[in-house]
Amino acid sequence: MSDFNEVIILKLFQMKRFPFVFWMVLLLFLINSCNLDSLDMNKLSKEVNLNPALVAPVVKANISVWDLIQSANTGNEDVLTKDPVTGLIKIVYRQNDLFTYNVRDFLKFPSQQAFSSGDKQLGEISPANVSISKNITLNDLVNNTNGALDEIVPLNGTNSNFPAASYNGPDSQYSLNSITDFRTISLSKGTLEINLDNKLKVPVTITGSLYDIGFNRKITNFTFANINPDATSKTSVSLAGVQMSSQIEFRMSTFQTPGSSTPVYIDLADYFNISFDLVNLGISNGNLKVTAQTLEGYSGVFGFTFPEPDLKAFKAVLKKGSLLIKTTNSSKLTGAINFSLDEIKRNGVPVIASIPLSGNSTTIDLSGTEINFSSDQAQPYNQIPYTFSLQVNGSNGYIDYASTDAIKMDITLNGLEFKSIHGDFGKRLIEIDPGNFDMNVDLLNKIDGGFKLANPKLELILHNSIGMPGTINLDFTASNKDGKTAPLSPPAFDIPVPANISAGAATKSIVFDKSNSNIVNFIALPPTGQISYSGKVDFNKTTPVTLLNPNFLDVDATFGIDMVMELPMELQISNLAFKDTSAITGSDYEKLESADLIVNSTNGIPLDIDMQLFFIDTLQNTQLGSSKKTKILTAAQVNSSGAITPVKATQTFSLDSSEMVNLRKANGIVFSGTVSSPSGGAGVATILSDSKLELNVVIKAKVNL
Amino acid sequence: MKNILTKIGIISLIVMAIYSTVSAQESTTLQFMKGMPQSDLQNPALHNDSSSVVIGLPGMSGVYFDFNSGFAVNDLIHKGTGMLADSLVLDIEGFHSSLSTTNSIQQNLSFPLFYLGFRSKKSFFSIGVTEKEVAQFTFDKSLVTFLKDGNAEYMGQNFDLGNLKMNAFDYTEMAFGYSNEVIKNKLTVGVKAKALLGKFALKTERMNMKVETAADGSSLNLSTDIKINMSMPATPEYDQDNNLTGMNTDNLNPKDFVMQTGNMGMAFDLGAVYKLTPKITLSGSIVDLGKVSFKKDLISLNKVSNYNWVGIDFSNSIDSTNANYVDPADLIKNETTKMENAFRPKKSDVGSEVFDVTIPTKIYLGGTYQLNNQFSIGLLDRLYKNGDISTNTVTLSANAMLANFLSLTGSYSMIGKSTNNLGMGLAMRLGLMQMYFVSDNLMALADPAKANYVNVRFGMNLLFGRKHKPVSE
Repeated sequence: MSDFNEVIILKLFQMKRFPFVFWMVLLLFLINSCNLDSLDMNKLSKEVNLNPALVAPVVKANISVWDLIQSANTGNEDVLTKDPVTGLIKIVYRQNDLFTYNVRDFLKFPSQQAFSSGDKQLGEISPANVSISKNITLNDLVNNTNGALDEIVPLNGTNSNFPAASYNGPDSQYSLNSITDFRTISLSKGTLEINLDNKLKVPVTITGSLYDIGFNRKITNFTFANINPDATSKTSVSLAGVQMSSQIEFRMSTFQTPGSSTPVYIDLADYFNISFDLVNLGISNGNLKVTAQTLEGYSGVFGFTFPEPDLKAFKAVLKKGSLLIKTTNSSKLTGAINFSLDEIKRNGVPVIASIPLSGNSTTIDLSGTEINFSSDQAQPYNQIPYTFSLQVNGSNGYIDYASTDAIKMDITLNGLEFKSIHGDFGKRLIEIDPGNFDMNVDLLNKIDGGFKLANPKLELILHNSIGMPGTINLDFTASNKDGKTAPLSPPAFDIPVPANISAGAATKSIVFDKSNSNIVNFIALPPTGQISYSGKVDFNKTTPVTLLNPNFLDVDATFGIDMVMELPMELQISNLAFKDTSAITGSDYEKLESADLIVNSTNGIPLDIDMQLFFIDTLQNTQLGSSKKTKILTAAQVNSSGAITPVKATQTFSLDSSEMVNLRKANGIVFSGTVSSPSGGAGVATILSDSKLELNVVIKAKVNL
Repeated sequence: MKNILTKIGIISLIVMAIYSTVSAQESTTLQFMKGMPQSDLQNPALHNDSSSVVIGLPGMSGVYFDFNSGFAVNDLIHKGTGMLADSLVLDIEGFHSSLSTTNSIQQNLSFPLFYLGFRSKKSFFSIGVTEKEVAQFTFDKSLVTFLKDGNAEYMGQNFDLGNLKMNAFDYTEMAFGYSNEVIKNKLTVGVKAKALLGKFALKTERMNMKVETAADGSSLNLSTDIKINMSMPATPEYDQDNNLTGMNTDNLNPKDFVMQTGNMGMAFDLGAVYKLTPKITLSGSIVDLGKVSFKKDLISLNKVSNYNWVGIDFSNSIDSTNANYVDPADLIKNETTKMENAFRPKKSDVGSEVFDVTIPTKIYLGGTYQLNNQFSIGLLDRLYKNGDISTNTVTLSANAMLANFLSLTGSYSMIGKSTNNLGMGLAMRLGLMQMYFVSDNLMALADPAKANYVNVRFGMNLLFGRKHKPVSE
C-alpha cells in the first residue's frame, strides 16, 4: 500500500461520515458486481439437449383372428362367418335375388275371350197331353142312325131282350169339345189313343173316325169290335206328320150289336164312352199355348285361344274373371236358358247360370274357378265344354211356334286373371339379363396383387315354381380395379322343378368349385371391381309333355336365383401386398430422433407379414423416402396334417434418424405390407377363427426434448 | 504434540470436506469475527464482543438466510456456444455431471425475535427467541440419470430412482445460554439450553421410486414406497371412494398456529474455548443437539404402490361387434384411472403418527492465531449433519478490528467440493448500535448462477458497556 493510499484511508477513518459512506460504497460494490445475466430466463433457449432413449410398451392385445378380421372389415361384418365346427373363417358374400323372374311374364294370358254358341234351333215342342171324351147314349144313337135302333125306343124302361141292331152309314157325327191347347199344330211325333168304354148292356162293334173340322179332313179311322158290356178297348194311332186343328169330331161309320138273349133293363140313357188322348206330342210348328216345360238341351265347346300360339292349356285356375252371356231368341217363347259349364268348377261344382230368353245379359263370377280344358278326348286342350237347356214359361195365349226358331248365346270372358295353369307350354326361353354386383368386401379392397384361395365356392340357390324342366347356362365374369377380368366358366345345369303345383317352389343348390369351374382364378383376381353375369334358361328342351306330365306354373310364384360366394380362408399367397394410406402431420414427430417398434408376438396365424412405410408428400405427389422392409410377424408353423403351432418371435421395426427426417417432411404415410403363407407361399394357410395373435408392441424411441 | 494434533485435525477436515456434500447453515466467517456477539450462536463459550449487555430487538436484530445445493444454477443453465452464445441453454449433461450420488437443496431461514446477553464477572448469560425454518430436498443422481438417458439402457433391470426426501419444518427456539471462564485466561465453557416449539413439519421417512423395464420392453413396472409425516393445521379430504383429494386449511387460525405449544422439543449447545498460548486459541462446540417431537395436527401418509404398465390392451377393442367390446377411447381413460388408483393415497393409507424431527447438528472445531491486537487469522471446520446429509466446511479467515468501531473479516471457505467461496464480515458500531453483515460467499452475489450456496446474515445489535478490547483476547 502506498503512502498516498494510507493517507487517504486515514482521512476516511477520521471523517465523521465515514460509516455511512462506507456502507454506501459497499452496497454499490455489491450491486454493481452482481451478474444477473446468467439468471435472465428470457434468454433461455428452447434447446433442451435432453435426448433420453425411452422404452415403453404401447399396446398389447391377445386377439383372435376372428376379431382381427372383423375389424379389418368394418361395416360389412355379415360377410364374414366361421365354420361352427372347424372355425375356418369364410368370406361369405350373399346376393339374394341375383336374378328374379316374374312368372307372370313367362306366359301371356288373355284377359278376355269371346265365344258364341251360334244359332241353336229350338226344335219340336211338347205340349201337354190332350184328352177329349164323349158319352154317346142309346138315345143319341137312336137319333143319329136313321132308324136303325128305333126298335129300342119302345123298350125303354123295360126289362126286355135287347134287340140286335146294325147301322152301316152314313157317318153319324158327334161333336167333341174344342182343344184349347192349340189352334193348329204340326206334329213331328205323338200318339192318338182312342178308348172305348162300353156302358151299354149289350156288346157293340163300332167303326168310326176322328175328323178335323178345321182342316176338314179325317185324322184317323178306328174300329172297336164286339166290345162287351162294361168292357173297354183302346187303340193307338201315330200322329207323326199330322197337322191338325183344335176343332175335331167323332164320326161313327157303323154300329152293330147282337142284342141280348135275355131280358135286360133297357134305358135310353145308357151309353158308351169314347175318348181321344193326344199323348207324347212333338210339335214342330203351330199356333198353340205353350205350357211351362223344359226343352231338350244343347251342348258344345268353346275354343280357348291363348296369345302363345303353341300353348296347350290342360287346366287352369282363375284368380279373377267373369262370364257374360247374352242370348238372342228368334222364337215367341219366354223363359230362360239353363247354362252349364261342366268343366268350369268352383269347389268341384260346375258353374251354371239361368239366362233369360228376353235378351238380357247375365254375368257369372268365375273367381276361384278351375277350368278343365282337356275334357275333349279329340282335342284335350284349350277347350271349354258347355251345355244348356231351355226352361220355357207357359204362354198366356196362343203363340206361333216353329221348330226352326233359334236361340244364340254370345259369351264373353272378362277380366281374366289366371292363378295357375297346367299344360304344354312349349319350348321357352328366359333371358337372364346382364347384371353386375360389387362384393364390397373391405378385406379384399385392402389387398393388392395375386393370391389364391384353395377352395373357393360359388353357390347358386335356385327357387323355381315353374313346372317345366329347364337348363340354365349362366356365366360370371369378375373384374378387378385394374380392369383385369376372369370368367367363372361354370357348367350348364338343370333347374329344380316342383313335383306339382301345390308343392311350392322347388329349391336347388348348385355349387361351383375348383372341380367344375374357374373359380380359383376368378377369386384370385381378386374381384375388387364388379362381378358381371348373364345367361339364359331353356325350358322343355328335351322332355315331352303329356297330360300326365304337364307343365304348370303359378303366376304368383317366382323364379329366382340367389348367390352365395363362400371363400374359405385357406390362403395360398406369396408376398400378397396390402396398402393403407393415412394422413399425418410430419411435424408431430419433430421430437423423435429415431424410433424402434419392437413387436413381441406369439403368432397362431400361419402368415408371415412384412411391413414397409413410405413417406409421401401428397401435394407434390412425391415419395420422400421409405423405411426398410421388415418382418413384423412370423408365421405359425403348420405340420403336414395341418395342425398349427404358434410361433413366438420378436421383430424390430426401425426408423433411423434419416428416415425420421423424411417422416417429418411427409404429410402422408403409406403402410405397405406383404403377407405370405407358409413355405414362402407354397403352403396353404388355414385361417381359423380361434387362432390367437398375442401381441405386445413396444416403442423404443430416442426423444429430442 | 501440538503439531501432531494440528496435522491430524487438518487432515481430518480435508477428508471430511472431500466426502461431504455442500451445505451451509450459519456463516462460518462469523465465528472468529471480532466484536460480534452472534459468535455465541456457533459456540456458547465464545464471545467475541466485550459488551456487558447485548440486546437484539424484534425486527431489528437481523435475519439469516441461506440457500445451498450440491450444484450451481450454472451447472444446469449457462450460456451456450456458437449460435447460442447469447442465449442460456439447458445443459442436462453438465448438470448430471455435477451431481453427486445423493444431492440436496437446502434452505435455512432464521429470524431472531429477541436477544439479551449480559456479562457478570466471568460469566455470560443470554436469552434469545428465534424463529427458524429449515427446508431440505434430497434426490439421488439416478433420478436425473433416468430423465437424461431414459430407460432404454436399463431394459431387464429394476432401475432405482433413489430416495427423494422433502423435509421442512418450522419452530420457535427459546435459548438460555450460560458460559463461564472456568480456568482463568485458559478455558471457557458454555452451554445453551433450547426449548423448541414446533409449528409445522414435513418429514419424508421414505420416498423411493423404481422403474423396472422388462428385457423385451413388454412391461414397465413403477413402484413407490412412500412414508411422509406431517404436522400441519390441515384436515385431509377424501372423495366418495376414500381417495385422498387434498388438505383442507379452512380452519387455519394464524394466531393459534404461531402460538401453539403442542410440539415441544429440546436442544442443547455445548462449547469450549481454550487458550493454548497467548496467541493461539482453540475452540470447539456442538450446536443444536436435540429434536422436536411433533404430536399435534398429525398427518402421516404410508403408501406402497405398484403399477405395472403393459401398454393399452386392445384385446377387446378390435372387434366392435364383440359383446365385450371396449371403445379405444375408454381404454386410455380406464388405464389412467387404474394408474391414479394405484398411486392415489386412500383413507386407509393416512394416519396420525407422532414423529420426531432432529435439529441439524453442527460441530465446530477451530482456532485463531493472534497476529497483533488488531489482526488474527482463524481456521474453522464445521461438520453439519442433518439426517443422512453431512457437510463439512473449512474456513480460513483473517479478522481485524479497526479503529474500535469497525470489525472486518475476510474469509475463504471450502464448502464441500466448492472451493471458490470468498466471504466477508463487516460490523460497524455507531454508538450503542452495531450494524453487521456477514456472508461466506460474496462471489455468489457477483455471479449467483455459479454459486453452490449463498448465505447472508445482517442485522443490528445494541451494545452496552463494551470494553475497548474484545473479551476473548
